[in-house]
Amino acid sequence: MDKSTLKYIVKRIVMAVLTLLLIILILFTLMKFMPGSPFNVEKLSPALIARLEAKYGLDQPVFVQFFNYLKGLMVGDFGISLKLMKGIEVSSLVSSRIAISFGIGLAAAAVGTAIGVVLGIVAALHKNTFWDTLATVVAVIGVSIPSFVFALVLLLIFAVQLNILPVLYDVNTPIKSAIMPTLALSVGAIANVARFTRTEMIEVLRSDYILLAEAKGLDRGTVIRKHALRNTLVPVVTVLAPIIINLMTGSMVIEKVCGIPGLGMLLVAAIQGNDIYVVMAVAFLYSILYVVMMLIVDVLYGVIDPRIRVGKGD
Amino acid sequence: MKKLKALLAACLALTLLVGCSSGGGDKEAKTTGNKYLQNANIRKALAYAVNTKELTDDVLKDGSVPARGFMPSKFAYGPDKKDYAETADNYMEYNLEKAQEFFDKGLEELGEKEITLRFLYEKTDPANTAADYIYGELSKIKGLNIQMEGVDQKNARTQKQSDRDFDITLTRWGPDYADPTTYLALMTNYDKAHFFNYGDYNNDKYDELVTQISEEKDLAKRWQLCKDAEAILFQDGEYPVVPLFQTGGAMLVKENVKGLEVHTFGTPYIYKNVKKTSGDKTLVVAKENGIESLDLLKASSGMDFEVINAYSEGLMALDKDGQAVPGLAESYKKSDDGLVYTFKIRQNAKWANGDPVTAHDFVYSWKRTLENGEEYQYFFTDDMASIKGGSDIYNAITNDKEYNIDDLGVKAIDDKTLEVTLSKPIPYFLSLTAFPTAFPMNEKFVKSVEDSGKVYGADADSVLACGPFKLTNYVQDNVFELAKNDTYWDAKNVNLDGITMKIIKTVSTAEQAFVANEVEIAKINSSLVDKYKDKPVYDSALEGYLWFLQFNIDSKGAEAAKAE
Amino acid sequence: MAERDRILKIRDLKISFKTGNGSFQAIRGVDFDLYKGETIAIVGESGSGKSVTTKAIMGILASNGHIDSGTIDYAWYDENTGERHERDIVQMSKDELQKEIKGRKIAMVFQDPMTSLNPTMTIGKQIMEPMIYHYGKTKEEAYQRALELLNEVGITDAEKRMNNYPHQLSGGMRQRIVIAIALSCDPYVLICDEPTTALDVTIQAKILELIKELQVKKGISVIYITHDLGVVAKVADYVNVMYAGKIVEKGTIDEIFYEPRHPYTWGLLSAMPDLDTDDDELYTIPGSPPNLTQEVVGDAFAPRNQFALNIDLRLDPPMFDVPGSNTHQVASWLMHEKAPKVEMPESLKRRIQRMKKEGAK
Repeated sequence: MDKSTLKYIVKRIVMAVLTLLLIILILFTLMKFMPGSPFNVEKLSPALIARLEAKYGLDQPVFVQFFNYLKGLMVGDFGISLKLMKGIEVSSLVSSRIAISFGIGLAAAAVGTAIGVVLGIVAALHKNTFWDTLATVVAVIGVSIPSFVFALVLLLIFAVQLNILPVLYDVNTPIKSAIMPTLALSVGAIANVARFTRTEMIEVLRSDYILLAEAKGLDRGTVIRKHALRNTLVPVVTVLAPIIINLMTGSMVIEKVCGIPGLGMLLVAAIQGNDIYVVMAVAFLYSILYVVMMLIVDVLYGVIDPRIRVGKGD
Repeated sequence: MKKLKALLAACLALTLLVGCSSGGGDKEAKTTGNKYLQNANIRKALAYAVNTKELTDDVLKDGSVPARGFMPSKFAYGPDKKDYAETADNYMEYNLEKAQEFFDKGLEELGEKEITLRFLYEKTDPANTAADYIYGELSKIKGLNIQMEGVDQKNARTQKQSDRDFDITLTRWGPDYADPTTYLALMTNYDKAHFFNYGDYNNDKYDELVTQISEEKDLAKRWQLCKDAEAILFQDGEYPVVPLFQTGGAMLVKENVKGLEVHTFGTPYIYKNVKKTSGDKTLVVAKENGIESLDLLKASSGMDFEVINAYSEGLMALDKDGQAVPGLAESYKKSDDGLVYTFKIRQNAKWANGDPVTAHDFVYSWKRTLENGEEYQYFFTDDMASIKGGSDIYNAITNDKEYNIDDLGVKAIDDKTLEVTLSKPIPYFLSLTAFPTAFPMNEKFVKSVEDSGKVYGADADSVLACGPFKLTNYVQDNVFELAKNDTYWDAKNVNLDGITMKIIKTVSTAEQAFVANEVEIAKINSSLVDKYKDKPVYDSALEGYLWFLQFNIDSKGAEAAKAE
Repeated sequence: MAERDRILKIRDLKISFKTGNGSFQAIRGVDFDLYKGETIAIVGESGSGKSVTTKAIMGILASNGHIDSGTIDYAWYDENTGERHERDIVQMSKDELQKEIKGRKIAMVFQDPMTSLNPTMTIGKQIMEPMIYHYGKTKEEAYQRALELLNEVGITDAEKRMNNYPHQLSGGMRQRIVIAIALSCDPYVLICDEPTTALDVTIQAKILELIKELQVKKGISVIYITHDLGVVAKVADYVNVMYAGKIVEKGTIDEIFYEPRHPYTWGLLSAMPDLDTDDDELYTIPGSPPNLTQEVVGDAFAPRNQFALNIDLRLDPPMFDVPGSNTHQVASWLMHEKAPKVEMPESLKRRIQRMKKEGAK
């Protein structure tokens, strides 16, 4: 890596940190406006609730709470849970679930991308034939039907009828339990990547350099492998970032349906229960993920597409 | 560079904006009572307008039963050993004509042709389904317009109630203890502690009667006074609430599983006596919620209690009919004035680490909760267990005054003898000792957990069992695993080798797990009842929640306005 | 003069394309020859079919294109035995075309160097690729040969350029590289499809010179496709003028430039911008080429031809030999002995005079 790329990355990181600060502030403000309280308003008197709020510092002005929170962040203290697991540190609540949610999300992204790219290439190479139509139909289905419907269908077939996969997520068999959720999640990605790959590939195949490659006397397979593929995949990388982020952070419904103890479930339950610090921590985590992902993709893009070496001139 | 500056500017602006806003949020009531609901005939009309039988049998279909008054059934038993609900009057009647009659009278008195009322409810089951149905029923009354205001979560609903931001609210109350006063207290107005009176209903005679109940020593007379108090609520001119139904729990239970107990208060589901007539000896249940805390200071949800009750026990326990029977205490003696209870703790009562269960464990636990509790801190006050000194200490703590925790009326006479002194005789005191908040805690163990930097109850190793099972593993939102506790004094009567509680938040998934034999007990909702109700795996039991409509009245304000 | 060795003989080539609206014939019967060591130009407007013809020769016709009839006889000498082989390319299978012809015996230089190079592959790799593929050369051998090629096409700093990517080079350099790629397998025929159209005027001349050099050095035959008569004038030995999928006039460069006979050729020559042009406006041939999706009756050029005869509207004229030449042929009814005598426009005559004078200098 050369100096200008390094400078670029550093600049991006600084921007990222500032963005994250802004995000925390916004989140904090939003949480304040949410109706409800993490404390049991149904059974506790207003006086008791006020005491609890004072105990946890929630009666301070927002400004003060914000700075205290930031202070905590510096030392890795993300606060404690007030409702979901009372008294437990948010950091341990969240960290135990990162592997599961991010794992399934990444797996779904990988599966989705792999299958999607293959599908897209097949469709492009057999444009306007049966395979192309098939791929398009698959893509439309994948995009229109929500992932949890797939999950339910898969559950019905493989878990209930055939009994080869478990209905419920079992932490003792994480791989086996993750198969169906991963597949269900990946469908949307497959569809998007396939469509995009197909369009890119058709575009690439129309290019002059493909014609030149053919004119060189290379066989079709070599032309596609050595010339068309890389140029098709390069733009696909740009689509991947949002897809990966989506899958890693958007698995809430799948988690609920399949009973997965992941971040999505945690976030939803925290929002419903007004468990402020948990919401902040998970939202913050997602923000970091987003920022890091974008940065990686930007740099990666420069690595794989020689036309875009970031910060370079020649 | 420009982008950076813009970002910083945005940060600053937002911080200033936000910083100027207040901290905890205003807790002042937003509105006072609804002037139409201050008319008793309007309220009475609504009491006749809902066909609760149709609601429970055809709409909810989950074993819920229509309410007959302001008290659910199967939770409070009188000195005659009978269920309160069996011998109390039935105050609810469905009669649309009468409803219209009362309504028209009310309109006339108000001088209005038609009125609009806001209906607050939460969009979770069963409230969601019930609200829909009730809307349909109330719409049949001519001259009444209902404006539905649904909120997503219980939190939001209770917040609005607390802010008095409603006209009618669909709300519920689960009994804290096995006595009618837990419901009667909701309608009193003499004490700011009784804030559940969201509608600000006020009847001085009622308040006097409830005070009298708390001081009455003759149990039979007291029981009758309870019924008299309930009767007041349904006299002409009253009707602060319209009781609707008591929740039922519809569930699927595998045919080889017997002995599951469903209770209407305290711990909802008790597994100690479950027996499997075939297959392995581990019970697998589907539960809809995870726990919030296993520490008695913070535990309050049904699930918390279920788990705690599985690995721990109190002085007394509840049998399948809800009656108090000996638990960790093998016997007790009650003084003649009913103020002093002396419990003899079993010689063979042990903690899972070998320590004997001692009287000190109870003293430590109760004082700890009274001092630092966040949920049931008031358990020991005159509002509940009425331990001597409890209310004084509680008031001192909550008002930041001096106190001495040892003033609490609980003493360890010796290792196996516990003496409890009450401030007033409580007929339901024994059943209260079966409430998880009154369970013992092993002080040495608790300190060792805290010294190691962990929070008590954070994982299976940070709790200590003294009950029929012990907690071996748990993954929040996924599974709780318990194994039979061989050091339990009654281990020979525990049939199961272990329990696995799988957390499944969607009913459809729970059903599929049941069908795939991954769980043996699963709760279902009205959408699945029709499918299973004639099958042997279907079961339903009454739970303790009573759902009712509460009116925002502000009687005092109304009186004052009338006086002007 | 050395005996002319004919290596490409195309007779009555007809090519049609399938589109959404049905098929249409783009090439409606084309004949021409290419002799060893010589340069021919195929001239015409866009859409006349120039590129299609050459793509058919190379076997890189688009997938919806189809050779209906005709022959493309190609002759070559075996590298080792020196034996002369002749094959009809139309009859060759895709496999054979790919392994034997494309890139090896016949190579192509494309029009737009900006887009004809793979943007994500290094220059070196792109030049080395055909050598390794066709001849099984090792990487080192191919690398050395690639360096040589780069030098031959006039690129200094060859080593550095090997690791560059196309976007790092100028248009002129890129075109040189395309030429280097074309030459990498020592082809016998080089087809240049508008090789200078996308380049600066100053670079154009250099590229044309380069091709000429290489041609002489290696004894390659070159086919130029262009619409630019200026280019033709510089490079061609023989010229074929194409219109609407047919060749309407062919001959030596002198014949075409100084003694054009077909009204279309007159139009092309008149349309050439010239420093001495008197007119305030540039001359253009009125109208536009016909839509070949509809059947053409008679001479396709007739609608735009101010000298059209009645018969032009009914019958397509055959190729007539121009008396006194065995190379000059014209497909126009004006060549018929019974046709009225029509002379080229005055302005064109004057222009040709000027050209002759300059040519003589």
